[in-house]
Amino acid sequence: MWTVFGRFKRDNCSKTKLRLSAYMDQRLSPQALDEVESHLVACHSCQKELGSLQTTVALLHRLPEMLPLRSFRIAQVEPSRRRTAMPLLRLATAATAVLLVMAFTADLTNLFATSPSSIGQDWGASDGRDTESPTVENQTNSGQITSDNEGDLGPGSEEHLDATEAGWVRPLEYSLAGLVIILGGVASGLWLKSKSKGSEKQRKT
Amino acid sequence: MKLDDSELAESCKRGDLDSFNELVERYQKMAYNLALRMLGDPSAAEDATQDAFFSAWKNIRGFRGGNFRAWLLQITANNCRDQLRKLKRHPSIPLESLPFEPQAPPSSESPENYVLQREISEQIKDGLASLPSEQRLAVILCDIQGLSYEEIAKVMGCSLGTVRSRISRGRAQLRNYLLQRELLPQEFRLNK
Ligand SMILES: [Zn+2]
Repeated sequence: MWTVFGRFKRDNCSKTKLRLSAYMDQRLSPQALDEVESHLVACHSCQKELGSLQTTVALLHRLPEMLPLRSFRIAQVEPSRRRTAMPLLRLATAATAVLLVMAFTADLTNLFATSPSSIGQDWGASDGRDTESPTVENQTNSGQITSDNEGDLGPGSEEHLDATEAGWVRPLEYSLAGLVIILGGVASGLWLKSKSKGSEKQRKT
Repeated sequence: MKLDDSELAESCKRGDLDSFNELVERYQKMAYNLALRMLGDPSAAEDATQDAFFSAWKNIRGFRGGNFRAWLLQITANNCRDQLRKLKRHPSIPLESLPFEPQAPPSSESPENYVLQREISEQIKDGLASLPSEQRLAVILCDIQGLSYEEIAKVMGCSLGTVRSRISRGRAQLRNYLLQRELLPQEFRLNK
């Protein structure tokens, strides 16, 4: 008789113990709640079990909230600014390179020989002076550079042109070449950096 | 005027990052604490939280209204699962051995109490780490973050019945862990 009662109580205990968590959270149906409560009144072991669970939950409630060491706000500007800076830089590099090529070409075809206004005059007057060119050449060959020579310039008088351009064309070409190297270097450096950053970000997400 | 979560989420869908950052301010502490209790490591928790906010912003159109907090915590929980899988594949430091950032004792508490509380906190952290991850998640959401069963079911993507049994088993296992380490009062020791 006692063993039967004992087994009945044990079955009730395991059933009750499974319900204690939901009982604490008031998540039992009215019937289950009734069964648990009437069992608890009589069962010391289940009371102990309930007490230990309640203490565990109380300890969890008392855990301090931890503060993150930084904010998780999302900044939009940084990646998009980098994306717009890159084409600009590439454009500047390309433009400088084109300028450099133009400067070289102009140099080789002797466009820098005189100031633009005198070129205009010369070309306007050149038909009539074509025959005079050789004499001008001879003069420059001997190293004479005089102001009235400028008026005699026409296309094809190479040596003479070389002599007048030298002052500022070379520095221009050098500085353009330097600029191309610097801009190209910065652009490719940024490109490599953004490439590695991009792959890192992709890995992260 | 303070906008509610759904209104902010609607402007997020129109590309308003300020609204999203308002939501970040509201929930970053909660998301971070969830990640920290799940992973046990502050820097992994920071990564998981940041990733969660990134993907929430990226996928804001996938938020179909309703409970934003649950949606965000679901993303955070998923990121934590990913991190745990990574940690499992490349185990570096066991979860239990990483202490949290030391915090100054609040002025209301005596130094002795503070030390005791910290000791218990560390033990609970280790106890949580010993639980299966889904039980741990359920216990954290319920008993540390105070979510309802319904909200937990949304975060975990499971039924109420599953939530109830995970919480029940998680609490019982944590209780056993604390009992073994004599962190619960004498009268609760079993078989006595
Ligand atoms: Zn009992």
